[in-house]
Amino acid sequence: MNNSLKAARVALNAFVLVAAVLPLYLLAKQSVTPELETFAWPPHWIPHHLTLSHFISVFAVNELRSAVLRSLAVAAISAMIATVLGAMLAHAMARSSIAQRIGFSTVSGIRLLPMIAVAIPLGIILATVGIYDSPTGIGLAIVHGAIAIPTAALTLYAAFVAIPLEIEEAAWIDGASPLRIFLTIDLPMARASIATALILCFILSWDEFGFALLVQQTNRTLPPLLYYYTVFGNVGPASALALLMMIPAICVVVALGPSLRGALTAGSSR
Amino acid sequence: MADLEIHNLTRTFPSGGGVFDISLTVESGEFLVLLGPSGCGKTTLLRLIAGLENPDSGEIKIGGANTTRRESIAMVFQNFALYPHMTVFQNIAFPLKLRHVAREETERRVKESSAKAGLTVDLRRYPRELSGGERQRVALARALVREPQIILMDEALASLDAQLRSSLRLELKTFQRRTGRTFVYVTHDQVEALALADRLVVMRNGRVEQAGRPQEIFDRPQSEFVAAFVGNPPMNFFIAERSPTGGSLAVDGIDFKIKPPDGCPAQIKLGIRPNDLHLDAGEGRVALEVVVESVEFSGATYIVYAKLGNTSIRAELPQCVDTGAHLTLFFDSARVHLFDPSTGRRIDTR
Repeated sequence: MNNSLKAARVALNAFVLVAAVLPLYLLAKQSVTPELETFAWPPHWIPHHLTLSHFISVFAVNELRSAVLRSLAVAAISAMIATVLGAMLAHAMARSSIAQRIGFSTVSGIRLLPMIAVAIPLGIILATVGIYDSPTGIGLAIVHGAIAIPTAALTLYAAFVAIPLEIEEAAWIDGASPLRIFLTIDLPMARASIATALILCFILSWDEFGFALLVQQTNRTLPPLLYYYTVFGNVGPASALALLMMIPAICVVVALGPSLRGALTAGSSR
Repeated sequence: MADLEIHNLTRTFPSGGGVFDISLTVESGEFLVLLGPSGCGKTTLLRLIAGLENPDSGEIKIGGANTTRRESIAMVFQNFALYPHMTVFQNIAFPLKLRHVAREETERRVKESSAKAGLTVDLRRYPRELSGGERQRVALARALVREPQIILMDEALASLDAQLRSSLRLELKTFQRRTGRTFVYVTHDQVEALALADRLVVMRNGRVEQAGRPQEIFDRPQSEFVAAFVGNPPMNFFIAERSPTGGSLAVDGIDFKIKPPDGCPAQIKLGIRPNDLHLDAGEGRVALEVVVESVEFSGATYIVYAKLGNTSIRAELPQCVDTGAHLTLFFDSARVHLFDPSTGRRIDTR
């Protein structure tokens, strides 16, 4: 009984491992397999020839460097917008029952809304303002900032709820204004969750595809660029690019691993 | 000089709690304790004084004029409300930083007030590294640093263990004497209240039940509620009736030999504190025959639970007695408290 249970657990772990690792392996394999071998039948589990030409070709394309910079800028700016606005919303939600009701319905409203329904009007608005398909990607950054607010707000809500009201009241009695309390008491106390919110929003924007495709028609960010590679049959370079796109996420998880995990689960048990 | 005047203060909550029509004057340098069971409005009153709540009606005047309320009041919260991300120094200096006090001045005042609060720890440490007692001293130092006229404290010792609580109680009282500040202290612990207070305000259901010196409240409780709430072990209460002759009061047919006061109702509540029951007859004491049911040892004394006829009675005695023993207890009729059973108010015998 105990043994069969153990075996089942090993099998389950193995399955999860394979399901998680196999796609990554195939991606990595594809990125170093020469063009001709890519479509070999039956497929080769281990490539017979290795090449770095896909990576070279990706870097050779001028568009890539600007796309990387644009993606980084859009993700960073949108994460900042979402975290700043999300923090204000989350604090209000944590401290007032009316704000909490309005906040939760707004947040779930944004999440339930079919994104495609707002995509066209958004495009028109951005065009009117003159930041449609902007080389800096500022229009997309604003859109990403807006759709990331729920993520930031929900992450920070848990953190602000965990701060005892007593501490804010003490600061008020000590003579601090509400803005001062927010900036010098609440934000520093929630700093782990703020880092989490920034990272989650950054990643959200980093691999957002739909709006990026629509809003940045010619001045592309990485996900649409990857899409065009695939569409035009460049499987090798597409795999190489996809692999490169995972670098920020891996960096984040490795660098902030333990604290990120802590902050992600913080508040969940309260 | 009155530091704090409260006139007809009312604040109600939808839940039914709050404070109703409270008037109170606190003298400068006085240690005032608000005592009452939970939900009696004592914390609401403190928060109103602090300005954390706004009254529905009535007013709060703070002496010394020319300053806003927030400038003249500091508060120590139940769990101390220290800022966890700041060092002890930054915590104490926070009120000064908000007032743009110069650096040397800040350093001097932080050192001064932490010395006054008896804080000996390294000021570069964080609150989480401190013990409960040290945190309490940091909170006191922070309250003191901007030199407020009044320091408010909300159950500030409640979260600490018993031994630390009694040592900090003493420290707090000395601190208050030394600094000469006015203290308003909220507690539900009557031992703490009696020990700390210059003046004690007993609250019930959002109203002041009785205000006075602790000794006065203990010796002459103005209502049955105060009598029952203050004092440990709690007072014995009996329903007494006029004996057939009309000359004295009797409980369950047992004559207490107390002359009923003029205009006394047919039934009257009679209260005796357990420590007013003695084993020796003394002079002019009234005797009661009781049967001991159980005995509790409380350290210095024994709490004896006994039956007086069919009525339970508690006595605090200096020596142990046997369970089941027949005992004669004596009391001074002057130490008996009488209350009107319908209103609960005290009836004075003289």
